This record gives sequence, C-alpha cells and structure tokens, in this order.
Amino acid sequence: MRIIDCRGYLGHWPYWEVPHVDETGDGLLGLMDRHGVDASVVVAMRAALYSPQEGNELVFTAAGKHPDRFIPAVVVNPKAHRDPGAYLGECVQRGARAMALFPFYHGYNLRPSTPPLADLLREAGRQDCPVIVPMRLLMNWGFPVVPAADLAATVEASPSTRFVIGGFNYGELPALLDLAGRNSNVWLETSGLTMYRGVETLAVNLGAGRVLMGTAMPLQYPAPGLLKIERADLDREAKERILGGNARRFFLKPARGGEDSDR
Amino acid sequence: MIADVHVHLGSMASVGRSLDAEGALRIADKMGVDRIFCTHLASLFYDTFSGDELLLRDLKRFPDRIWAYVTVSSPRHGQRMVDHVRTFIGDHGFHGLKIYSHPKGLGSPEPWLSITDPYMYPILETAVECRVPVLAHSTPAECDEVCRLFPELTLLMAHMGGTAIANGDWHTAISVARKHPNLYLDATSSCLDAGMIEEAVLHLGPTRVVWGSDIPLLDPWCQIEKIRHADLPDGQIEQILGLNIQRLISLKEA
Repeated sequence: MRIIDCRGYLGHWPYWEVPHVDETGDGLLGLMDRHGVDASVVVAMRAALYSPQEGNELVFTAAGKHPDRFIPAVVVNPKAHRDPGAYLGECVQRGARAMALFPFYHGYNLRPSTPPLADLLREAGRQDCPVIVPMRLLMNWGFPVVPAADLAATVEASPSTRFVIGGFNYGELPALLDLAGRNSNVWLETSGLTMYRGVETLAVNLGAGRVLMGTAMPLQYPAPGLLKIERADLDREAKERILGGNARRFFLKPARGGEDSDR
Repeated sequence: MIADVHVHLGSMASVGRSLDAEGALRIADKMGVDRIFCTHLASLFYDTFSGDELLLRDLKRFPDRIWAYVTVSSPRHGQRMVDHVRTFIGDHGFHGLKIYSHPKGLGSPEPWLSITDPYMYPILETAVECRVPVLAHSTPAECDEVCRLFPELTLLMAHMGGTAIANGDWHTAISVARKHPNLYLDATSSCLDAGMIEEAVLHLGPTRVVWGSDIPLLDPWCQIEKIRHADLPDGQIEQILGLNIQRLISLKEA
C-alpha cells in the first residue's frame, strides 16, 4: 500500500515557530519518511501567503528533485493574472497535478459570481486539474473559514471540475456532507477533521472512495492525521483507499489519453 | 499510568451523539487508558444536581477506572451550588470541578457565564479548601484573573487556548501559565499545531501539561497521538499522559 498525504506544505510559517519547515521540502521529506508517507500533494506557503508564481516555482523545483515523493499543486490567484486560465494551463503542462485556492489571502470571495474565478474553474475542469480548497489554512480556531454557502455555490456552478475540500471540522461537516452528497465532483480531505468517528462519518455517508487522507504536515502533527484513519472502525480496504489508493487514482490519473502514472 | 482528563458521559445534543460509561471505558481500553476523568453532559447543559447523581452511579460502578468532576453549570444557583460541590467532593468522593465559560457571541445559545463571575468565588474557595483541581473551559484571560485571585487553586485550562472563544491561541495560554505556577494546561483540542506540546513543556516544564480526549466530541486518537509523538523524552510524555493528573488528584487525599 502506498500512503499519499493530500495536504502537505512547503515553506515558512509566519505566525509561530514550527519545526521542519523549509522551502526545499527536505524537512517535509524527513517527516514523511518518519511517518511512512510515500508521497505528498504539496502547496507552497509562499504561494498562498505572498507570491503564487514564486511559490509555485518552489513546488516545481522540489517535485523535480523528488518526482516520486512530491505531487505538485500550484496556487493561482484569479485576480492577479491577466489570464489565470492560461497560467494554469502552463502549470499543468509543467506537471502540476492540482490547483489550490486561498481566497482569504488573495482578496476575493469564493463565489461563482467572482468573474475571473468562474473562468478559472471552468479551465481547471477542461484541463482535468483538481481544485483544492482548504477551508482553513490549518485546524486552528484563529483562522477564518471559507463560508460553506460560497463553496457550495461555486462547486455547483462548476460541475465538470473536481474539487478537494479540506481544513473543515465538525462545524462545517453537515453542510459538506450535503454538498458532496449532491455533487459527485467533490472529495473530502481529512486534515482538519478531529471529531469523534469523523472518518467513519465521511466513509459511511459518501463511500470510502470519496475520502482523501491529509495531515497538513509540517504545520500539524502528522501522527494524528494518519492514526485516526488507521484506528477508524472501517475495513482494511476502505482504510487503504483513504490512506492512498484514492489519491493515487485521483491525482496521478493519466493525462487524457495517456498511461496511468503509478509513481 | 495513562489518564484522560477530559471525558464526557451522556448526550451531546449539539452534535447528536452520546456515550455511556461502558462505551467510554471500551474506548479507553482500546487506547490503553487506565483512568478517565469524567463530567456528565446532563450536568453541563441541563441540571447539575441530577446530572451529577448519574455520574455518581457510574463512579460507584467503576471506582477503579473513573474519576469524577462536579460540574458547575452556573454559579448563579448560589449557596445551593456551593453545598452541592461540598457534598459531592466531601461525601461522594468526586475528584474535581468542571466549569464552562459561555462567552457572548460565537453563536453560543447560553447566556453569558464566566469563571471570573464573583458568584463563582465561593465555589472556587471550596475547591481550594477541598484541594481538588478545577477544569476550566475558559480563556487564558479568564484563567489569568482566577489564578491571580486564587493562587492556591489548582486550575487546569481546558484546551490550552485551542477553542473558538480563545481564538486557538495556545501561545497566550502558555504565557499566562508562565505567570501562575498553579495553572496547568489541558492539551485537549482540535488544534494539532506541530510544536504546541513541545512549546508548552519548554516554558512550563513537563509537570504542567495534561491531556484528554474530549470524547464523544473529538477523535481520541488525534489527542493521544499528538502527545505520544511530541518531540519529548519518554519520561516527559508519561508525565503528560497520566502522572501529572495522578499527582494532582492525590493532593485531596494528602
């Protein structure tokens, strides 16, 4: 079984001291090795908080150095590009496997009426590039939460785009279960979920195939993110899907017409 | 010896979940937890007096596995609440108090209530007199004030700032605890921020941090694993996982 973390971060953390952070990914790689994680979908904190283009370059560099360990996810600010869809296309050509959105940090609302956003999401669907939306930067109550209603409207306006929603917890869960239940283009990622029987709740309501393991390492302790799935009251097959099987199919599926990339 | 300082029995209407003593102990067994320190949710959210009677029944059934908090749902019951605390600690063998602050805003359906309310003072004085710890679901600022007013009280700050009412600010929790040697941090929280346990131990030492699961609200594995995998010597992790609260409980008997 290959374990794939669907939420990993590269880069510095401006708010407090965190061990193992760096912009090369070496610290993250060390943590992944220690916790038995084979690969990680990585986003650059520089891209989320400062400059998407600069941060994305860090991700491409790290993924180029460790192509079997890092699955690059780029950040696109729909307000910062003349043609954000074209920029996304360039990133996909360079190997990006997902696009992450950080609306709080890029000055827009996650509503389909935000003009460049709607176009960008359509382009992500056309490129078959999944869109990652962390509802919180990490599961700390000091961070704002993307409103579930905004998220729902955006998801429903982009039915051909695949979404991965993470950073949620028990407060947001009922709305997300409803959203994912109505929209088969939504997958839920577990890094923020600390509620009792939370993983079981996702698997029972949506099926294990729609659940993706995330740890948010190195910003969050890795072990809880892994152990809550290992210890969940689910069968082994379901756990293996959540821990990595789903992610492999989801992020590493072949480009249209290509071979399966089983890295 | 592993002891979970933050367990709820009964029904949690806000999340539609409930847990009885047998269920809580089954979870404890799976996790290798020897003792669970419990409140009853009927006491916390409905009626302290009858809710604590339910917990007393569980305490009598499982005296070697359960420690019990008297819940102070509100100090505004006046002398009746003081008498209740004294009876359940003194006569029925309860081991501590649980106090839950309700801030204004944040969607709380309860009226404002703070551990700093002067109505609370006789209750806190009783806790000092009985030498039992108080688990306070309160902000660092509230705990700061209580510790200043009651320097002989043993106060456990539930969630060490990792709540919405405290903005997830565990750094401030640590800063406040540095000022008050009688303040302990309960690491139970949805926050899994890497380094938070190590930072607390760095500033407070390993004797001033405890842990809990917060079942049936939170996933217990998240809580215990963030302690077990903290970058600390094994001996310090053992202190956090159980020896610290065992020492505080034993003060009552000393």
